Amino acid sequence: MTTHLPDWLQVHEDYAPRAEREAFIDRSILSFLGVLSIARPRDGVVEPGVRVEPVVKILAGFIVILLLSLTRSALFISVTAVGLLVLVAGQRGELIAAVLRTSLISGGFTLLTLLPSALFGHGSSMVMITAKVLISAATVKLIAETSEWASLTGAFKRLGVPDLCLLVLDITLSYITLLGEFALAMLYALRLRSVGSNAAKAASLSGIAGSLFLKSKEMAEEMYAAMECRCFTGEYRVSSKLCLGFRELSLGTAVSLLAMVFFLLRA
Amino acid sequence: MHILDNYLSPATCAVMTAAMVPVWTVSVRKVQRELPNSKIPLLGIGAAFTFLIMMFNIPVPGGTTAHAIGGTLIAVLLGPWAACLAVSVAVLIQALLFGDGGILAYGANCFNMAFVIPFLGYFIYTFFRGRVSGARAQMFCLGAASYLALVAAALCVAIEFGLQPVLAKDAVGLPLYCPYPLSVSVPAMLIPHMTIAGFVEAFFTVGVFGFINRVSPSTIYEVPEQRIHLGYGLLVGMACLSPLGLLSNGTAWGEWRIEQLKTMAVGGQGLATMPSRMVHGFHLNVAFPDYAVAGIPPFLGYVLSAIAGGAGLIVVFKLLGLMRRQGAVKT
Repeated sequence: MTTHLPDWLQVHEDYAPRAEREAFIDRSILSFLGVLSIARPRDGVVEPGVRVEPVVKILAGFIVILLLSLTRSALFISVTAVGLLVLVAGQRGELIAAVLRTSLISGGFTLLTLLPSALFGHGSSMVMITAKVLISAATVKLIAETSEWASLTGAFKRLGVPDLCLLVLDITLSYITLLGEFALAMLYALRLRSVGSNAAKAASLSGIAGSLFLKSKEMAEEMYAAMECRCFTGEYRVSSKLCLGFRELSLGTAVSLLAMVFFLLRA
Repeated sequence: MHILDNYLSPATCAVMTAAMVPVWTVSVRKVQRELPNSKIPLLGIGAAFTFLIMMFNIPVPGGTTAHAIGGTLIAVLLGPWAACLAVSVAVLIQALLFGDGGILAYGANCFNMAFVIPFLGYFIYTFFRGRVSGARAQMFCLGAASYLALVAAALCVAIEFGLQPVLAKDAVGLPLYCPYPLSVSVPAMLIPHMTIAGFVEAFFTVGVFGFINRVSPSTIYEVPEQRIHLGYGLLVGMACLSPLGLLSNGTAWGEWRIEQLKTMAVGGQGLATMPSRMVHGFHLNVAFPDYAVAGIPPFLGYVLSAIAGGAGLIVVFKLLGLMRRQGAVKT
C-alpha cells in the first residue's frame, strides 16, 4: 500500500521569517542572569580564616561612607582610597574584579552625569564627588562580597531591626533566586515559542510578570505551611555570641584612625 | 531613580530618613494588625517580586528598552502599607548587595520609591476608581495613577537634587554635592519620566494588573471602605514643598522690613529718610519670624512653620464648625 502526500504538502516553500531583534527579551534575560549570578546562595563564600563579624563590618562601612560624604578634603579621600585599596588587595581575584566593576560603573555614571557641571566652573566638585561615589560603591561592594547573606540578617538583628523586617528580608533574599529562575524559564519559553517578527511578544511580558506574582503567592502559601510545620513564628534569636577578635579590633582601630584624620583635617 | 551616596548632603539624607521612620513604624504596625500570619511570607515574596519587576526590560520607541518600578502595582496588589515595606526591603537589597542606590541615601530612595509611588499611586487609583464605571475606565485610572505617581517621585528626586547647591556649599560657594540647581534638575528628571518612563510604568502596571484580574481576581488586595480626605493630602504635600520659597533671593513686593527699605534704591539713589511711623510703629514679636525657627536649618523651619500654620487653621475651622453645629442644635 502506498501513501500519497497531498499536493499542498508537496509544494516547496521558501519561508524566511522576518528577523526580529528581540532586544527586550535578550536584555531582560541578561538582567535576570546578572541578578541570579549574584543572588544564588552564597554560603561558604567567605573562608573562615578571613571572616569578620558582619555587624562590625556594617558599622565600619557606614562610618567610612558617612565620613567620606562629610569631608571636603581631597587628602582625606586619598587616605580612605589607599586604606580601601589595601583591604581589597588582600582578597581573591574574582572578588577584586567584582569590587572594581561595581565601583567603576558607579564612578563612570557619576562622571558622565556631572560632566556638564564642569562647564559651569564646578570641575573640582565633579572630580571630588566622582571619587567619593567610587570609594563608597567599592566599600559597599566589599562588604557585600565578603558576607554570607544569612549573616547579614543576624547583623541587622543585633542592630535592633524589628523581626518582621528581618523575616521579610530573609524571605526576599531566598526568593529572589527562586522567582528569578522561574521568570528566566518563562522568558526563554517566550523566545522559543514564536519564530520571526511577532507584535504580541512584547505584550506577553505582562503575562510573565502576572504569572510571576501568582507563583509568588503560591510560594508564600507553601512557605507559611513549612513555617507552621517547623513551629517558626517569625521570631529571630541570635544563637551565636558576638565574637570580637583580632580582625574586628584591627578594623575598629583602622576606622578610628580614619575618623581622627577626618577631624584633624577639619580642624 | 536610585540616588547614589554623595549626591545628597548627609543632612538631607538624615532629614529624609527621619521622614521615613514614622512611615515605616506605622507600616509595620498596620501590616501586623491587618495581615493574618499566613499572609506575612507574602510580604517577603512580594519584595522579591518588586525587585524582579525592575529586571523586565520593556521595548520603547527608538529601539531601546526601559524598566518599570511597579510601586503602584504592588500597592494595588498587596495594599499600600505592605507595599511600602516590600519596596523598602527591595531598595535595601539593591543598595547593600547590588550597589544600586546609596547607603546614606537609603532614606531618600525609600521616600521616593517606597512612600511617594505606592501611596500616591494607590490614593489616586482608589480616589478615582469609585467615581468611574466600567472596567476600561478603571484601568485607565490605574494607568494614570501609576504614571502620575512615578512622575511625582521623579519630581521629588529633582527637588532633592536641586536643593543641594542651595543647602551645601564650600567657602567659595562651590556646591559640595549635586551641583545642578532646580532649573536643571527638574527638567532633567521630569522630561524622560513624563515622556518615556511614566508610560512604561503605566502600560506595565495596567498589563500585569489586567492579567491577574482575569486569571485570579481573588488575589488582589481588597480596598477597605474609608473616606479619603483629599484636602489633608494636599496640605501635607504643600507643607513639604514649602521650603521652595527659600530659593528666591528677594522679598515679596511690599513686604519689606525697615533694614531692607534702607538699602532699597529709588531712581538710582537710596531712600533719604525712613517713614517715622514705620520706624517707631507697632512691632509684633512672633513665634516663627520669617518662617525660621532658631537652632534648626531654614528649610526645616519652613516645614515646621507650614505644619504649625496648617494645623492651627484646621483647629480654628473645626472649632468654628463645632460652634455652628451647636448653634444649629439650639435653634
